[in-house]
Amino acid sequence: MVELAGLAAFVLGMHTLIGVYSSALPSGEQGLEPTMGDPVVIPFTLHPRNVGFLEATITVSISMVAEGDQVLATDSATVTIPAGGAAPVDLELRIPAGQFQQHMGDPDLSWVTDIKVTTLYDLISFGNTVTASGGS
Amino acid sequence: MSGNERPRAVAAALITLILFVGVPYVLPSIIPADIAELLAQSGVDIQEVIKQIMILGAFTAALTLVKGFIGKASRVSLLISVALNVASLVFMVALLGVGDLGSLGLTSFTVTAEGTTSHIVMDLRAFIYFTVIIVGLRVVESYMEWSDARVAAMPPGRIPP
Repeated sequence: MVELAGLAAFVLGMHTLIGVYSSALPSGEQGLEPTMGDPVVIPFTLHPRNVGFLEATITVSISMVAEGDQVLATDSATVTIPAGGAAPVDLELRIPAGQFQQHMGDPDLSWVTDIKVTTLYDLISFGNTVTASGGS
Repeated sequence: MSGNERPRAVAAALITLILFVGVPYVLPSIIPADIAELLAQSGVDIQEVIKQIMILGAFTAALTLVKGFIGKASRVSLLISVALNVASLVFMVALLGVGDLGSLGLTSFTVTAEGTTSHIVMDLRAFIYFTVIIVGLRVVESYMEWSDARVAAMPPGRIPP
């Protein structure tokens, strides 16, 4: 009986983790639409859905990094999504216009996106930190 | 020992061999090439994972078989019960750690493709802790069953130590 409860928790937990994570990934090519000014504002919106049967918490952070370790801008947000629900995650990077002009198109510029999903009363988690190179 | 226990033990050992030795043996040939490549890029040694599962499967099958042929009241029976429970814990750790027994459920791997690096971290330690508790309880249960079997196997009038 206890083993069955553990197996059920494992299946439900993994289903929720994978479901929320995969729905948070942007579908197709999503171009950047910066709002020019000073600072330049680059908005990002993700639309994670929780198709699982357990409440899940998703933490998303995005950073613009130059020359490997110089963080030009970063933002993060955490939302809790009930089972069967959805919650948008809005982020924006604010970069001084001078730095934006200097680094856009720079091949050493990279985007670091961190998506972490926790569920089963925060007992289990799945996280993926994606570092994409290229400034265009 | 009842007459049914030996055929049962043989059947259980055979099923264990098929599931945990036979199926993993043929698994590499049926994994799609793109998934195998992705696993190789991520640093997951799928051959090592399969080897660990097969060793545990063969070990478990052998113990299951031996257990069916010895008396329940013997010390060897108790030792085998404990070993089977520990084997199930090791199996869980190997499975959740994708072959890395030392990770104890906190697994990470990195995939690099076309200028993009993904560092994936899975924290499934809660299930390892849960399994440790279950295995502990099952070891206690095995001891109590062995203790009862010892009492039952004693000649009438003997007081158990």
